[in-house]
Amino acid sequence: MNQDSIVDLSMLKTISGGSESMMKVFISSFITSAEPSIADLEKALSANDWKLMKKAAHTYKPQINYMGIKAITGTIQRLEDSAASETNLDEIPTMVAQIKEVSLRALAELKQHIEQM
Amino acid sequence: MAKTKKIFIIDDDPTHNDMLKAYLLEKFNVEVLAFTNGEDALRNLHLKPEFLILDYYLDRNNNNALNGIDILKRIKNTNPDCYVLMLSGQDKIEVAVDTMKYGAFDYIVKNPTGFIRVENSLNNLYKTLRDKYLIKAYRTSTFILIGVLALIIIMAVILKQTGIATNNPSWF
Repeated sequence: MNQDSIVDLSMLKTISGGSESMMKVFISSFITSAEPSIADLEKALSANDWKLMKKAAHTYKPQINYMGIKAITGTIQRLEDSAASETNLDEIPTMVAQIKEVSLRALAELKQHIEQM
Repeated sequence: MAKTKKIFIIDDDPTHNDMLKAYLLEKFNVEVLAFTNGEDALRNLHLKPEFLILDYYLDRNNNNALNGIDILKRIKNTNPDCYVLMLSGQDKIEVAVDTMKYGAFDYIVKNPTGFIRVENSLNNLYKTLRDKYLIKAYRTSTFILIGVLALIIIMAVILKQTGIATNNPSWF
């Protein structure tokens, strides 16, 4: 991973104890689940369904944390909190857009990373 | 050969289940069964898992699904000897207190160090269980030893009283 990297796999490396096969399982799990998770966020946004939004953000949050996507770890927490309390609703579309944009970049990076493993 | 311990993972996020399962299989000699809802796990309790790792929110796929606390209560009602570790995405002290009140042995927040905490928690539990087993085995063997000694003393007294045993045995 270079300095411009959007993901920080240092924690994942610690968790996996240096096991490449476990790293692959973790990264593959994220690659499989990220797009459906983003779709859940967008679905909740278009339906203005804040309960669903809270649930989707809550589910996606650990994945973001495990992959060390630090640019949006705070955003996903704020999104979950805003949806749960139904406050700052006007900021939610921006938060979802940012999470999507950063997640897609992270996905591309992780796909490249797994190919090199 | 020692019996392989069975662990249930119950989380409505299959990705998290896959990751945690891979982690546990790497770290422990265990059998891991993953469920995406608590109801399925309850239906499989006859498989006698020693440990359950249970998520707090389980309603991703079904709004009416029982949450982790409900599942915890039911497990402890039917299988009080089963150890339940609660896992949650929320770092709220009141949730943690609630889960411990209903019989969970630990509460761990899903964050990047969560897996390591789960491992430490299971190791601590294994150690506690092993110590309990050793103490029980020690007590049992002490009890047996005292019983054998008492039996020898009683036999000696009886033999002496009946004259079978004397201070100067003729065969000596």
